[in-house]
Amino acid sequence: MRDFFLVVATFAASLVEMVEALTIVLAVGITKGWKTAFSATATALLTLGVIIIGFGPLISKLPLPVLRLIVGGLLLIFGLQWLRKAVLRASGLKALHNEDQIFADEVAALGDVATGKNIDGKGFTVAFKGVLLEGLEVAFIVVTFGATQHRVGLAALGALAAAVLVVIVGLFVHRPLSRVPENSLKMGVGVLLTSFGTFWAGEGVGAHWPGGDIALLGILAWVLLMTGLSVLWLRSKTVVRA
Amino acid sequence: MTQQRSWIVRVYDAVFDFLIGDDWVLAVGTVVTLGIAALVSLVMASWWVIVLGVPLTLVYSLSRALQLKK
Repeated sequence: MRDFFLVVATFAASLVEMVEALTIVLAVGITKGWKTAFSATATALLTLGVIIIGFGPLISKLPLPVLRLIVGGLLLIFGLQWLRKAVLRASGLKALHNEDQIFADEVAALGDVATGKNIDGKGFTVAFKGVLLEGLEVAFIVVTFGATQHRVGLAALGALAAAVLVVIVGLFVHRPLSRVPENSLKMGVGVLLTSFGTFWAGEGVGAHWPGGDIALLGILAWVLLMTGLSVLWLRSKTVVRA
Repeated sequence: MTQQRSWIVRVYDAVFDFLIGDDWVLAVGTVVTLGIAALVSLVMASWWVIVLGVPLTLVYSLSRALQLKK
């Protein structure tokens, strides 16, 4: 069961982040040339690889209770951040993530279309930062989820599947993937991260969950319920105000 | 010196944004919840502290966002 959630969480989180990264890479590729976009993407992926290889084994060496407390606590904070954003968007208090708009903004910000075959410095920086920052969240989830369950390979597989999917769709569509239900995915990942974070951090501080691993399902249902109620509560507040 | 400082500030900002995000309440609420749970676990079962503390933290953060919108 944990393995299933592990793959689902890393796949969905990676999908969301990679769709965002693809939008930036496409904007750079179209305006500043594909050489700039691809070299920046490759450099960022290489940097991410070094981070994962460097921190992955280091985290795995921590004693299990300490690992669960640190990883669980961080996942909890991270998951709550995702949930907060998703709930605010679902209730209309925050604008929905719009890849088409982001793409248009990026193209406008990058300026004139470059015709040369050289790598464009500005375009390289934008694409590198975009892929690295979006990728860091994926790397964090892969390393922490994987290390806590001693299944970094499985977690990486979920992320890799999302990467392959986004790249293939990106190659065919050749424009921002605006139809991906990013907010729903973000909410789903937020629920998973918060649930796993609650479970592991709880074990880290010495809490004994009733029913052992089965408690994870209860926590999942509880977080889902709280998220749904939060959306309804905020929607009622915004409707009253409107 | 100024360049070095701005580099450090940028890294600090990136780490802060990565870990703390849009609302510091989430990080503080999580730490406080886990701290209370750790103390309670010394004398009795403490899982319920986390189960209550986590949604309370989220709801408080959301109510702050709502207040800011008003």
